[in-house]
Amino acid sequence: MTRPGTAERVAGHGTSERGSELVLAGISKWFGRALAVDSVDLTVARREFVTVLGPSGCGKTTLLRMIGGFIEPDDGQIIIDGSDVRKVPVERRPTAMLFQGYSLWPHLSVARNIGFGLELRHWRRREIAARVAELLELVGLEGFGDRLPHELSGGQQQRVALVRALALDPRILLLDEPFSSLDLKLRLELRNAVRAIQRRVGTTTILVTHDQDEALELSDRVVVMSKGHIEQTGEPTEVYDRPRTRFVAEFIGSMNFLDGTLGPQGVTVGPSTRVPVTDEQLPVGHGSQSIGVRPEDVMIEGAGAGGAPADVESVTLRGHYKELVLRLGTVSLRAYAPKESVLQAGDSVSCRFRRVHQFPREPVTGLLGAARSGDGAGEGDLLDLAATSGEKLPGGRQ
Amino acid sequence: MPVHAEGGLVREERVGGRPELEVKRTGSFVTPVVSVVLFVAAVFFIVAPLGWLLVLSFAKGFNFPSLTPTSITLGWWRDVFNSPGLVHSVFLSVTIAPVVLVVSAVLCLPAAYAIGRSDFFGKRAVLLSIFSVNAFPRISLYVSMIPLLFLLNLMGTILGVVVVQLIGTLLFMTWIPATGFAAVPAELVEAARDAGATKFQVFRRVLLPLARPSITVAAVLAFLAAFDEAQGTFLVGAPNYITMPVQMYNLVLNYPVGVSAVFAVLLSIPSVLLLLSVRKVLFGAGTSSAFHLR
Repeated sequence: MTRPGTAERVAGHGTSERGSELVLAGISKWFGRALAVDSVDLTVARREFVTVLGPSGCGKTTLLRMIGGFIEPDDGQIIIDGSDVRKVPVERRPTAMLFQGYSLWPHLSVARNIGFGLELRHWRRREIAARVAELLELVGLEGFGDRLPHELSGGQQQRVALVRALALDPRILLLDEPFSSLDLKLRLELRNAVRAIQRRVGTTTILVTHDQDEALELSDRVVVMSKGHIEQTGEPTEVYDRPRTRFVAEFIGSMNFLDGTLGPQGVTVGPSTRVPVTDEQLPVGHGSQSIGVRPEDVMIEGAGAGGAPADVESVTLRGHYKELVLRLGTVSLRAYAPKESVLQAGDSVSCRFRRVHQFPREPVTGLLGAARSGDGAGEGDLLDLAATSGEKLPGGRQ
Repeated sequence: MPVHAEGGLVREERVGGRPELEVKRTGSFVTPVVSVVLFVAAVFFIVAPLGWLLVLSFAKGFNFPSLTPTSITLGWWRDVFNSPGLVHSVFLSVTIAPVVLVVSAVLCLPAAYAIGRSDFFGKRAVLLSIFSVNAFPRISLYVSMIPLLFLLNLMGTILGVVVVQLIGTLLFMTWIPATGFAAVPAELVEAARDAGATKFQVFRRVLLPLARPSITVAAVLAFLAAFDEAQGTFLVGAPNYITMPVQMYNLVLNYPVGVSAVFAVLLSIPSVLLLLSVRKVLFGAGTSSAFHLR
């Protein structure tokens, strides 16, 4: 497979280089014979909050560690604020990392943890004290400076670690799954704190996570990674509403997959079941496709209301809503209903789709480069470019 | 206060107000029983023999089977300090052992750092060879070393004594600090690098302080190993350099028991002082929590 040269790919990006804090161009990293990061291009604008989202082992942490300087890439350029930092050692990179564990030095007080980098840069003691006080205030830990890390709770330790990373005013803040060691309540709390602080301080931030909620909630832009390459880059709503590949569709939110054909009248599933689609901007199908429908886009009406006839197979209460499994001809579909819904298993209903997504049924290999470099491709391109991830895709969800 | 799960550590964060962490050890009755048993054992096996030595060093004589001496005397102590040979031994021991300790630290700590923090070809071989020094009777090792020491003109010299005492410290000063260095999580090192520390600054400001408990333990053991070394010191240093443990053999055979007792008490003093002085380093809050020792 031929790849376009680095320079072309950098130039091909929409964001102008002047406003960008970070440019990754053709970054690759091998671990032994495994390609951990496969020629990744990414441009991050100043003050932007970008989340790299993907399953474990997709190369997202490796990518982050290469930006931070902990791992040297085998190929490609890392440009921070206009200059290539590939040869700049970690201690001189203008980046700061917030690690997964709390990673506070247990023998140093909270204040000395935060002031560590400032001490190394020979700040005056009074200036360090002032900066530390300011940072502690930022995370609501005034008066905790003299404590040792083990005297703080997990959430407090991670907040200290956050401001320690900010102490040196880094150009780029790197967050390596920083919330995953916390329990749910603290995780949400700290997530909000990170977002609020990032907005206030304005540090360009890159977060790595496998948690889609985190990605959708926090980011200006989400980068979905799989098997070392970028599947899709876009704003959270864009990635959710217009997943470009089947991987993205499956990984973010939940999605029903049906084998069928899309025509002017709607989706034809199986031999004769036709489901009307209300979305006017219906993508035009080319023969048999894998059709994706989000459960919230399955509209349920009373039997005989004009939609496709379906039977309710099961109803599960999920708190503030109910999750239904519908049988539509030969396939099963997940759908949501309000928790007040009186539908029961065995009821007959009719259903329509609000909007649908299309993916080629068979993965098209060999188009990888073309598909990935097409940033901002419209839905019309979807059919040609989508699902070219090169992965072996599982069959439609039954 | 909520009811805690039985046993173990319970952490909770107070809701509202100033958040505070409480670490509470909730009781089972086993712990106090065990600690009383351990305390009694410590008194019986450690304090009692030392106390008995102390009594002997001041006792003029005994009327069997009474355990209390007939009268108290400072005579044995006076005898020891009036004998130039014995004073010289005390002087030699308290000067050579610290020198051995320093040399051992200079040689072994970099090795321990390398073993603990990096992988290199032959690492297992290095560890095993250090271990094997202690795995055989030491006296045969010393005897086989004597030709080499003659060759190097070290027989009968103080440098020879230092070299021979050094051997007994190698295992402690490499293996124990190596585990201490290895136990420092990689993230702590990376965080320091990220904050701008060079490799040397990481060593000095993060690795060394965090490995300090293990280095302290190793130093205590190494010092005592050197201080108590008699076989090799006798073979290499005699007759010019007779340290306290070597002198002990002579005393036990040729002097009244009171003199031996005085010497034994003198030999124990460094151990007691060392343990008392490093207690804080070993069990201080910051470092011990880092190693889950509490």
